[in-house]
Amino acid sequence: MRIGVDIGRVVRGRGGVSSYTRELIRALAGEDVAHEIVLFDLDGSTPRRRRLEDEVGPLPPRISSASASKTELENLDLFHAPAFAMPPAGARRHIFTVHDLTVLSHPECHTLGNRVRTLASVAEALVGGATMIAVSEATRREALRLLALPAEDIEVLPPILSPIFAAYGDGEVDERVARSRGIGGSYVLAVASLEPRKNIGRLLEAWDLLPEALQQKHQLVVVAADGWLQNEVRRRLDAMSREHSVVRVRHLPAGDLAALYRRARVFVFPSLAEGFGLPVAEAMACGAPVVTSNTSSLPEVAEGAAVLVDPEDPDEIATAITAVLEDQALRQGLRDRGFERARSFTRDEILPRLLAIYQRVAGGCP
Amino acid sequence: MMVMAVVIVLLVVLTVGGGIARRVLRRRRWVRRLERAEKGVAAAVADGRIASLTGEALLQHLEGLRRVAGGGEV
Repeated sequence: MRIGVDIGRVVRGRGGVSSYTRELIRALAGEDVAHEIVLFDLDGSTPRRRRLEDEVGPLPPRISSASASKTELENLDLFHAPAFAMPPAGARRHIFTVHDLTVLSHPECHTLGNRVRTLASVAEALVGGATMIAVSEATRREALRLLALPAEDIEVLPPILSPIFAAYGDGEVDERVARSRGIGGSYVLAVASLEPRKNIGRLLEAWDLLPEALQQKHQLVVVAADGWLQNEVRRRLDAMSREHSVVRVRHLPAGDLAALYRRARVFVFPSLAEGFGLPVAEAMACGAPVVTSNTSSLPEVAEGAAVLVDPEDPDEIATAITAVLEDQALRQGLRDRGFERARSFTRDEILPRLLAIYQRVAGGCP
Repeated sequence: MMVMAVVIVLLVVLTVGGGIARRVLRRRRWVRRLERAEKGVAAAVADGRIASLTGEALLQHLEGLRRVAGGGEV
């Protein structure tokens, strides 16, 4: 089968969609996959192979790249759109990944441009007869509720977790990574871009509510690239970063991020709404005890391996962080269950399901 | 001195004007994209490619967003 994939988000940008696409390509590059894969950048020129290999590792000869021309696209049996963008011309069949529908459920958390691009792409996908893949059952339910999709028109397939997020690592290297970012001893870690949906403002409020002794004993480390509509929170975070107990890191390579997850005493992710919530799975895979929200897909991703809180209640977030910081048995329990849960998102678990969907959608193309 | 002042005023006007023009053009582009999507959905409902309930829901979202994009509300 000849399958096209849009990898524009791997070439540009970070975040969940970019990680999803990168791991998709890495999985499809494995020796156990025989399909011919053609990589496109729908918003740019032909992707450069070396640039891609820097991102995802060596690519076998059956993976090529091409410009998104009508001829190239019509030559495909299947096109997978993993980044909310449909190709202008048609492959025989299309698959469209729905990462979340928060542009509809939480429009106030998005810029107008983001809302237009996402909604128009979803509409184009449905008009083009694409098979929809939701990254969680919660996202699938949102699609049924907000778009009145027939239940059989949307499948659930979680993202593949990068193998770099693993509990084993070199302790000394991990410590060096932490120290190079101004992180001393024990810390609470948060990973999110600065956008309203990620709720970093309430996390900072919760941190202020922590007992003084805990704030002195532990740091709050926020790995947060600049996003949108969050000038006030950004100013507050930067102001708090000038104090000893809060550290802001704008961006980290995945390997360094894994090091910080491994060393974290607690990982907190109080998002208002997620389609999946990749950082929760990453933290669990690295052995960090997780505190996350009781909304959207997060209880499903955590599946009993995290302390769940109301993300709109800073008191509740603070209480949960305190409990996990102070209770060793609770931390160990969360860690053990988290490891188990994270195994559900490995390549071995997800790839066969993805290939089965490709096969079915392409109508039995070899 | 006078010439310098005029040049500065002109530069300010051009910068502000350019910003406004870019914003207006961007919004027009968004409105056009939403209109195209609406037409596509309506056609797909008409020939049965999309279930009518899904089409109605999509059209409602698209139309609402087009109004926001066209009306200047962010």
